[in-house]
Amino acid sequence: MKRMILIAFLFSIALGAVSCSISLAPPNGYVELDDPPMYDYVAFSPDDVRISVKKQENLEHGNIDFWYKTFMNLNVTNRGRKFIKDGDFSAKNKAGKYLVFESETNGIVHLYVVGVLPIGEDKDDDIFIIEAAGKKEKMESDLDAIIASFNTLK
Amino acid sequence: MKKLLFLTIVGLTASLTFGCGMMADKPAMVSYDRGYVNDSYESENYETSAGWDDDVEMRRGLIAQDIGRNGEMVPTIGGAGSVSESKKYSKSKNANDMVANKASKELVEQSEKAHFVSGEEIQQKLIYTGSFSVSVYDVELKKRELLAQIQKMGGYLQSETNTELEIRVPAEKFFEIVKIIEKIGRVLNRYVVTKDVTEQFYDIQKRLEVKKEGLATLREILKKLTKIEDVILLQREIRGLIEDIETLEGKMRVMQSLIKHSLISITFVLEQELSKSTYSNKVRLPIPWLAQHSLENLLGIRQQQYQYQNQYRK
Repeated sequence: MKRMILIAFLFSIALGAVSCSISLAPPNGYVELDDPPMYDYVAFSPDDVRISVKKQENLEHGNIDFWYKTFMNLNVTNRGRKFIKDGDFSAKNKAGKYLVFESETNGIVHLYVVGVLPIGEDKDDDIFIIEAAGKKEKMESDLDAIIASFNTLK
Repeated sequence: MKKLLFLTIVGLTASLTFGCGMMADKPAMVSYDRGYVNDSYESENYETSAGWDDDVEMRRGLIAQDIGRNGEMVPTIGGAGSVSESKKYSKSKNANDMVANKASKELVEQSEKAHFVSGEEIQQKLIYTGSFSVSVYDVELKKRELLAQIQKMGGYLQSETNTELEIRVPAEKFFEIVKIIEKIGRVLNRYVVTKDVTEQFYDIQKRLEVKKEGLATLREILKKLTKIEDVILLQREIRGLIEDIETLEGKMRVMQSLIKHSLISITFVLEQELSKSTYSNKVRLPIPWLAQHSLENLLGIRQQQYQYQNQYRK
């Protein structure tokens, strides 16, 4: 009987190992959205601050500096957002960079954080785009914890 | 004459036995092997084996070696019966041709069947996504007009801001609707992405099947358990498996929804403001997915909440 249990246990472990997913450990008080479309991972706070992760194919094989500058241009030059600060993080044994922007629409100020983490080599390149957004007054207090959560990307 | 008669009898026996071998299931094949070895072939080696499976395996190897020694190429289909059959027929050219014809016919049939099965089962699964920036003279008017047309075609509004529309449209009408969008004003940016999710779709489907089979097996085992701690342990595993199945089913539903209804986002720019804008200074890189990553997209995922709520209720 014990052998049967052991077989069943190993069988279920093997089944569980088949699935793998992208996730991170969000700041305390955040909940995760189940099966978010368009993103690989989404978590949100009661104040509607959202964190998302999306894996894209790095077909261009751009390095971290390329993607840093691309997202800087995209947000500042193209979308007219105000650059606040940047910094480094690391996950999956790779170095990433994050950028923080501020955006005002109809008198409402939002903060927008975008982290870029290129991984893989040559033809297997991928890039993880981690984003966080919310109203400035709600997000400011969580900002450091949100950025710290980027380091927990799995 | 006697020799000719003997050869004919051997040929007929071989042909009958071959037919049985091809149709027989495993036990039948084993009895055929035993008979064959005992009657006419290498019986001293046969005697040494103790186990049933070892016996058959050993004889397979032995016969294969002999075929190699004789240097005769005999097509085989696979399995103990076929190898033995090959050896047997290597003694007669006609019989050899027969095996070759039968084997090649079988192989062709198998490959045709496989192709047919794959052609029937695999359907390409595509997710269309579009992102447009359109310059118009009256944003509100054009938004209403476009929305009315899209609703007539079976589409619906997902989210709306002063200058942006996010709509979901039936996938089969995606390109028709793209043409309509392109006619409402001057197109400044146009990104149309087709994502092939066939592999992911069938991967999820397969994983779902495997997990469901696993669940059924665990439930069968559960019925046979008597010790309470074993039951508790297994029930925990079953619960985990059920959660996995629900998660996969959710993913499947979302993917099916995205395959069925394509997402199109349209940004309206007022034509007269265009000259004042910094449009000419914009960086426009040929990386389609960049447009997906914006504060507006992340905060505009209302549909996700509905799906989450619906799933939670279920």
